[in-house]
Amino acid sequence: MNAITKAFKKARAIRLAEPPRYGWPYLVAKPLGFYYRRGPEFEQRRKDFYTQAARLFGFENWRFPGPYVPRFTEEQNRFGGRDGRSLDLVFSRQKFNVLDHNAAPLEWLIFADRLHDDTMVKDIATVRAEAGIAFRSTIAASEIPGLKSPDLDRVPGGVSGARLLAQSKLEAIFSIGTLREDMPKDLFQLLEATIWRDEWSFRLPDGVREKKDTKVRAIRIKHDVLEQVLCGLDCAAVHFHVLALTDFRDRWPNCRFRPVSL
Amino acid sequence: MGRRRYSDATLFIAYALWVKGHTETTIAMTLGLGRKQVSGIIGRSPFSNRTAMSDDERQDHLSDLKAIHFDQDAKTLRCGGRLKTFDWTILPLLKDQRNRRSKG
Repeated sequence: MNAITKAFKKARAIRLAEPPRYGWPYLVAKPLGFYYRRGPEFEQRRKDFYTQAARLFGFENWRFPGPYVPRFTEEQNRFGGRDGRSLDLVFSRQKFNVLDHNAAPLEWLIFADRLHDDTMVKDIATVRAEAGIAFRSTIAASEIPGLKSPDLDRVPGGVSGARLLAQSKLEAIFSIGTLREDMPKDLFQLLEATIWRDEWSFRLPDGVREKKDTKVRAIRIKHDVLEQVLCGLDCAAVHFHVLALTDFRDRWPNCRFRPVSL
Repeated sequence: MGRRRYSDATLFIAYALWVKGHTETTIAMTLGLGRKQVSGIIGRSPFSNRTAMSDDERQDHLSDLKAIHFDQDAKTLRCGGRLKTFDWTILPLLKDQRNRRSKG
């Protein structure tokens, strides 16, 4: 222990004791939205207002929103809603089965084995798949057909009076309404977009393959969004009585899912 | 015949060069000492186990040495002025300087 080592140890102790001077909150430039942002709807209204004002008064250096340009051509996107993904078919020899893994997000989740979770019950993948299919079929059943023009050339005198709504349709409407009230709003919207409207919310576009391009492209997943989708599927599973509420609470303790009927 | 006391400047230069990544032979040629003398200085220092340090850790040690380069009490440089143009960044260790049992 000489003078140098003593001074070195003292300097080291001082450096370790004081907090680091980089990162938050020392040298972070916050965006302006940090100070005045008031939520996405209000910001959209503010943006629209300023766009209209720019059109009316001719602001200088104002960038107007451009026209919508589809990312993929019609030929590339001929299989609707695929973001340029090709068919991913699996043919079995024994039966005439054709599976398309890229058909829809829910199908891809099932076939790519993304629904499994080691920390939950054993059949959680099956449970989530059932819940997703039940959710989709319930929404399909609750859809009301569009307006029809009255048949003015019809010969009167028939026996058909006012039609009754089917009981199954009413049940589907009430079921989906209950689920919508029980779940958090953003979570329900995400689940509806993913499973009913077939939007690939959790998966980035793969890109279009050129002809003679045999290179296998990596699948890019947004894992946080995928986790939210799985949470929504579990909510639906609790709603459709295929998953116990206690199992759900164990896995998602912070989820604001409050089923009233259970 | 007591043990020889090295000056603070010698010790400081030996530590700085060693933590930076130079070999004992280089340090001995720099200081005009024998290789075994330098080996003794380093073996009694807190930096003897250089191979077990990561690069960031070694850079932290070197920065701490840089922080005490100027002695505020004595108003002098501890190195005696010989490390005025010293580059206080570490060098990567060569293959024979690293621990052979480690995986990297």
